[in-house]
Amino acid sequence: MKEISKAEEVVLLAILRLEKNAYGVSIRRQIIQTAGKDYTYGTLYGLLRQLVCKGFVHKRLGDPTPEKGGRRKAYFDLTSQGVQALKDAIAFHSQVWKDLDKNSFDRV
Amino acid sequence: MSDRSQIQKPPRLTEWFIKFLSWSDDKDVILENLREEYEDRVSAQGRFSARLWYRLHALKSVLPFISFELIWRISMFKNYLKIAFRNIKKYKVYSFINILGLAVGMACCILILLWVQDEVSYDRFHENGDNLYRITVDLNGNVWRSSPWALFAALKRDYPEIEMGTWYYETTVNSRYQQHNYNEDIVLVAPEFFKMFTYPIVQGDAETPLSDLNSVVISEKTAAKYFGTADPVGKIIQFENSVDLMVTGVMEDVPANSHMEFDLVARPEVFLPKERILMWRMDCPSYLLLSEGTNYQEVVGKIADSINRYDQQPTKYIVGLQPLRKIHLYALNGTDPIVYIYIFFSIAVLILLIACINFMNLSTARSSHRAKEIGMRKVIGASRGDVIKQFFSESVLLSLMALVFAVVAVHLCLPAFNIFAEKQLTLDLFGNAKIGIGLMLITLLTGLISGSYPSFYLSSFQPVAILRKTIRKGGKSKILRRALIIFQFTVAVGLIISTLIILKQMRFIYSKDLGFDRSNVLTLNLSENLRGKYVSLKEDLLKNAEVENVSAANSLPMRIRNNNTVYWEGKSREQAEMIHFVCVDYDYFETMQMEIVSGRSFSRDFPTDTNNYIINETALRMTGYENPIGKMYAVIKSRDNPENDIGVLVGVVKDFHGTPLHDEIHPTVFMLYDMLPKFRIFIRINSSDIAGTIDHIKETFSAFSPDYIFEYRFLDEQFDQMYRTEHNLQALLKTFTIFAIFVSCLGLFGLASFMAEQRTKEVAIRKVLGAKTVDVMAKLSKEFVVLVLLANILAWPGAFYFMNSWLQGFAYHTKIEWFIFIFAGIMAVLIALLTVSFVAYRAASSSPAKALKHE
Repeated sequence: MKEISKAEEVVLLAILRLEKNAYGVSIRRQIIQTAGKDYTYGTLYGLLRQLVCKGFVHKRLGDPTPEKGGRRKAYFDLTSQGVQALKDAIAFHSQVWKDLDKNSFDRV
Repeated sequence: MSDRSQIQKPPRLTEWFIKFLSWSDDKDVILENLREEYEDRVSAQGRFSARLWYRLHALKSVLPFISFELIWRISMFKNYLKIAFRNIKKYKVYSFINILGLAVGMACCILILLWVQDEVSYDRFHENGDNLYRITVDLNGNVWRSSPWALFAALKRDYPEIEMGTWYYETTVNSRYQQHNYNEDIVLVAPEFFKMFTYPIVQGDAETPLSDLNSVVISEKTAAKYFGTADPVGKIIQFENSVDLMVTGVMEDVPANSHMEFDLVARPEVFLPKERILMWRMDCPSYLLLSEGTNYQEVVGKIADSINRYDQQPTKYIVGLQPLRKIHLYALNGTDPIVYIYIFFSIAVLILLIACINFMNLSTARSSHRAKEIGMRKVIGASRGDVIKQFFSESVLLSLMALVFAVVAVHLCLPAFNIFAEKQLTLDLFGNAKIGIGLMLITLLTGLISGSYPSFYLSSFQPVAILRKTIRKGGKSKILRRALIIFQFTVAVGLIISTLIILKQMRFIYSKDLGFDRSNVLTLNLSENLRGKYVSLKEDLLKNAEVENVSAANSLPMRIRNNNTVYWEGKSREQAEMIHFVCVDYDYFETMQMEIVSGRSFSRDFPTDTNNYIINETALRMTGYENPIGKMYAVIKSRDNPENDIGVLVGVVKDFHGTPLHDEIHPTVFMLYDMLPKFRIFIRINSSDIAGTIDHIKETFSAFSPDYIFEYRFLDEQFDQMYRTEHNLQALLKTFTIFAIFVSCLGLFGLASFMAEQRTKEVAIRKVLGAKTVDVMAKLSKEFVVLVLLANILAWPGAFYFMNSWLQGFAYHTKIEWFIFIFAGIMAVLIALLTVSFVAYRAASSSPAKALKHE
């Protein structure tokens, strides 16, 4: 099972935090807030599409906007595989970082 | 909460930019998001910084957009390819027919394009190519490529724009080096020849190889012939038993795509008498090199009347210049060979089109097989554009596969094709990048053209209609499919008609009575040595019982090209007219079996005959004489001594074809006078043992000159040689007609099989109800026969027009007869019937039970 990339991880976590409220703008804002990374919409939607392809994220069309002929907003939710992928990521990370923390670098 | 009444729109331009970039479905959503964030920023940071942020953001997004688009597209293509392969495997027969058709079409196209490319590349290798010109002389509407010897030097002297010039005099000489003894074709030029033209010298003096009069430059293969691996430079070869020339340079063999072909180069002063080289009479081609940037039209204007000025001759010669690049493809009189290039190019395109049409027809006819797949794709979310892209990739894939077969086929056919076309074409994929690119382009073009109609047709299927199984068997599409078949067969029929007519014309040419008997006559070129002993040689030859007659002349009877001016009673010397002439020996007309219609042939009984003339009927008409025998006639032999020119007509010979059948018969005068050396000897033999006779003749020659190289040709062979172009044209056309028919039939076969398949149930039911196999077959075939008949009617006018124009290029040609068209039509119908009935038979004879079992 291939590990998810860092960028994918960041997006998944953002969606996790936003619970049912994850859409383009909110995801981007969330990532800026927590990770400090300013992803462009191009990058973001590319990642989202990839995640949908892999089955980690599900794209849901929400209610139409109140304007006439309003479009539906696209919301993104984590799927069960997505959750599993995050769990794997944490496990992988702890395994790789086992017994190390930010103080271990002084040895070098 | 932002004030909705003050909705700020994000920068328009940038919006459109993003819309343009992102082709996926997300683009609306992305714009939505951007708009929302934009609004928030406007209220938070103000309009200006919000717009700035928007624009920057768009720019930053470009790269990610593109890369993700690519990744997505690539994975879509992987899917398309997978499905395409699956389809090919599933319907092996149809796929094979498709690929075969495309491959044949592409192979033809490639072959023809190789040929065209070669023709167009003639003479392009000269560095000074843009500034090189051949001098032409126009007299009375006929343009000659020869010009006077003394002309170019005079022009160079008087016009500074003319930098260099040279003659190009082709002749045959005898050569000897140690044990080697040959008749060589040699070319006599001015020393600047190698500075003007790019024929690289690889050994010896590369700068001024012909500066010394007694030098000769030879080609690499000639060097190998004479000297093997030894160094040729400095060696001396003897020519004509008297002229010793030293090899001062070895040049690269002349490439095939050069209109000048030669292996030895020397200077004329050592072979020709001085007076000849200072002459003002037209003799051989001359070339000029103009300085860079000169407008050659201006120069033409200045030199147009130069011959008349320099030579003070009363006759009007108009001097012109022909650019080097145009020499091969544009004739001076009559049809330009470039016409053939256009013709063949069009044929190539047509054959390719036919192949593409096959593909189109087959794909659309079998559309029901793909209907479900297309419906599903659309349901899942594919746009029409996506489906279009899918089918384009399928057609391009098939084209690529066809390309592989085509390349293999071309490799196999190239040797035979080269013989036909008399070229040395190669399909050098790796050496020449242009060919590789060209092939890719052809493949792409084929794929796009053949995929165009099916893509648009198939992508128009609506999912609902498919799932409800109510696809109309489209009336429109049926008509189009029929139109395509008609087009294919129109082309095929057109080609059949053209081939038949060309064949007829060729047969006409070969069997036409030329006015002289060209069979059983040997011709040889006499060396200088033998020319001196000609009279005794002739006596000895005639001692042979199998030799009927011997004569000599300065040219072949069907290739009379030398011209001069003549006048007669009632005309003054200044009013002399152009005419063709031949210097002949006694017995010429008897040897050639030309008919003398009044008067007599030259005879030794009349010593004054050496100053007398015989003319042909056309020349007689020019004079207007009623009783020509004994009347005055004069041929201007030289500028001085006008009394020498005047003679008397002793005979009139029946008109014969002294030039190819493209031309009208020219007025011609015959004389015994040696204006040009009579180096061609003609021997008429009359025995059944040709080989034996030739041996006897050979012995006779060696008795006179032991090192004479006995190279003989038969007159009728040489005649055939003249029509090489037409012969090749006919051969090529035949081949391509067969291809076109093959490809059309392939398409017909595919389509017919498919339609038969569709109607298996109908056929089965008919049989159950009592129809005989034959009836069923007839019913199935009728449709197609009608189409072919229609194609015929369309093809006839076009073919007639083109063939008529081609035939007009011949002054003497056969008539286009009605039965040719009927014959072509019947042939086409038969071929179509054959194809279709094969399918129909299979369909009609299948057991009804099997067909209805799956009900």
